[in-house]
Amino acid sequence: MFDPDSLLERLEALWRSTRNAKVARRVELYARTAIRLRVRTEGTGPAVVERGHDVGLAVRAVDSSGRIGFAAASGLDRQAVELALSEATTSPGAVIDPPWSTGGEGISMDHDDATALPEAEKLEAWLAARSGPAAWVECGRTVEALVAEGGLRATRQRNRAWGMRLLPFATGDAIEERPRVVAARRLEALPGDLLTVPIPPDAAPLDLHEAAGSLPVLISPPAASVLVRALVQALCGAARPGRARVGPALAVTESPGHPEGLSGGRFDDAGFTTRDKVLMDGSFASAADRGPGHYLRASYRDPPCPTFGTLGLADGELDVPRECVRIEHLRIHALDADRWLLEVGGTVDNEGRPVRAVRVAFVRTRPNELALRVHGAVGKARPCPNGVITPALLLDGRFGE
Amino acid sequence: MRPGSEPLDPAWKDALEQASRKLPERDPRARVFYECREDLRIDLRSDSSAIVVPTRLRGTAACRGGSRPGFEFQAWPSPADIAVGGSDIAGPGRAVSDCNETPHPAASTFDPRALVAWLEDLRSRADGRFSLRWVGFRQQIAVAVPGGEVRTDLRQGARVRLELEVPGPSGRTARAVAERVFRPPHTTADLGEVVGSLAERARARLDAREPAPGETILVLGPGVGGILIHELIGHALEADTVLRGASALVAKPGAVAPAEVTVVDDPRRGRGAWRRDDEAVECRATPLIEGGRVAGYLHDLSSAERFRQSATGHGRRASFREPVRPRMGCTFLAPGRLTPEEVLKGTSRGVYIRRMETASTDSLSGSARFIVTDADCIDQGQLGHPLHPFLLELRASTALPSLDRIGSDLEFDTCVGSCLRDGQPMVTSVGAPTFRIGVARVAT
Repeated sequence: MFDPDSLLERLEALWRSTRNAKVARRVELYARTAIRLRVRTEGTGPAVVERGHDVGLAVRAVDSSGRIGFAAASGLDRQAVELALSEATTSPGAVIDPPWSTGGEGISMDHDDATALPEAEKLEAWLAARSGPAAWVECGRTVEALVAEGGLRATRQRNRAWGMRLLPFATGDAIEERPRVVAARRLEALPGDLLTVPIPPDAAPLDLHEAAGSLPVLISPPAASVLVRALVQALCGAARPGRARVGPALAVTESPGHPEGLSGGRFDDAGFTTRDKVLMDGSFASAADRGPGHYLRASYRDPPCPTFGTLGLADGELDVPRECVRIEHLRIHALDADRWLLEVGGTVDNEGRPVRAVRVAFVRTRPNELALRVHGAVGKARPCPNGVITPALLLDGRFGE
Repeated sequence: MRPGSEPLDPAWKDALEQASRKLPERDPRARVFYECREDLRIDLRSDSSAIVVPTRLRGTAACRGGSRPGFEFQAWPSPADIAVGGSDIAGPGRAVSDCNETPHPAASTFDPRALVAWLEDLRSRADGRFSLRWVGFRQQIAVAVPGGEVRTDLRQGARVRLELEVPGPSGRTARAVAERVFRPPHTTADLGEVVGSLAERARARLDAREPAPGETILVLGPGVGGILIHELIGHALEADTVLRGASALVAKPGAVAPAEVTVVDDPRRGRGAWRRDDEAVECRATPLIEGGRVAGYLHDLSSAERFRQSATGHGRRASFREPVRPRMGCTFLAPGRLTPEEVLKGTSRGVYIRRMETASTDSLSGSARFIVTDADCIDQGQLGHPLHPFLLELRASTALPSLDRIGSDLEFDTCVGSCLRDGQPMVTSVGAPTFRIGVARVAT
């Protein structure tokens, strides 16, 4: 496993070797290496241990006629670079808009501590304390480096921990399972409490509309994170005309440097400096600039694309309502750009304890209508695996059309 | 393109043979998996030039069973790394080779320039907002098994998706989508006809109306219903799901569908076909439902061992980084004797589905949900007006017994997509003739 310095050193040497290549006028090299340790249980049989090491690089190049290409390959040696460079210059396509865009001069570093990965036994114990029918937990570390024309040199090191468990939800006369994933920068910070959602025994599940007709609706952080990201994409896209109105609890800032953020950092994946940007201020949504500072790569195999990175909301100031419908599962089915079907399920809570299941239901709505109904925030903002850091959100009782 | 084999790089062949001799014979699941893969994705929209994303990767995974099962993976290994034997390779912290002894094959399977030119020609034939996505892959695998043997397989495939949006009166727009498995030599002329029918369908959809919510009868067009079979039957009979007691389909004894229903999974056919799975097991056509009853499960080595049954060759992994799971290859409903017109006839009211996508599946409850993106209403056995997109819910316990008319027009891959399970995407194929289901629900 490379440390940031040795990865940058290797990448710089490879980048210098491309200067002799006549096929490209300008070249950017990006490399990512990662180690991972995962322990998985299926509910029966022994725990399964998976570990390994990944490494790959990507080339963006401008050829002699000004065309831009991208290619990626596993590996980190001259063979891999030459192959990727050859493919990038023989299959040119504009990979981002603007087509050539790489951050300026200077060296940028953004490093988590290089702590050793825990032993498999520690992960197994973590999992055993939260036993379920099927679950896994993993720890890993990623080191990235970027070298380009103009003196750009950048390295980033991130630790990460992920956990998954299948959670049960009531659907009328049956139980359905939904995966719940949690993520953090360290195992110790992994919110294991979110991997447990007790289904109240005995009483038959309630219908959502019946329950939400008289009680406030509280959307738990994992479900709220899905809602926030979808609303930002729907209401802050550059193509959207005008400014959409949003509810008072929707104060969302894109925070690439958030200490609990899972992606990005002080620079984006094309080397541009990042900065915070307010996307929703509790009154209106702003159309967001998706230019430099917002280019992220899904993996080394993908070109950098304009992407909303870490989205942060402040801690909530309200208390948990004495009695409420708590939405623990939320999924959005987009029928088209402006029509959503929300799939939701959860519990009725009394004094913070679930007393009745609420069966999974479908609610037809529109993004701008739903955004107006988010009127309160409750509890601490929690980091979620989709990059949203959010507290629980309160909706008014009119849930859907 | 069919599954097959090609010569393995001699250095890798030697290394894998050495590794296989060191694998413990007492562990029947011990393997060293090797893959060399090439992918190409091309996106083309009305208002931009092509986005071309080629990638190459190579990696290995050393797998073990027994009381401490697991695997260790490594990207970009050199043959020397694996020759030491499966149990010793690839732990975190290993250094990366300065220069790999066996680089990626230099020549590409694909010709991006020719493909872009072909797609641009296709785009020039369409009016309205037209977008295309072409995706192709080629994967060579080799698996070392205990005893000095190395088994290989070659998988390759490509598909193209075409989407057209046309403007209508008062600012309205309508979309139509078509997907085709891409088998050379495809010519622009082949797909030119598809572009023409897309435009016709998109214009027809300008008059789409909302579907009536609640219970409905479905008629699924040729090929389309394969998705439903994949979700309600295929996933429920993946053996690891059955093992953990999460399959509603096997929870109740007896028939799950009428006696005319036969469902088979055969990985050797379809758009991403394989001959051997990722554990080097020769695959075979596996009956899932015969005579309306559950007839078998899809196994990898682990589930087969625990069921004390033979592996069926369905053990697959999305890449060397991921664990092997029982996965579907090409799942299809066997054809019946009726003409498509006979299937439709006699349905007084219902919905005729031309295109849909999976929204969610839950084997524990035996339910599945689909986003239906193109459908018509059925009125007195005739197709009526198009319908706006809607969500469709089905429960295996009620939907499958109501499957009462099966056509003879079996088709494959009229709706093309990937299957995502446990975070692992996999190329899969589905097939079905036109058929009718009596119990489904349009969600409100």
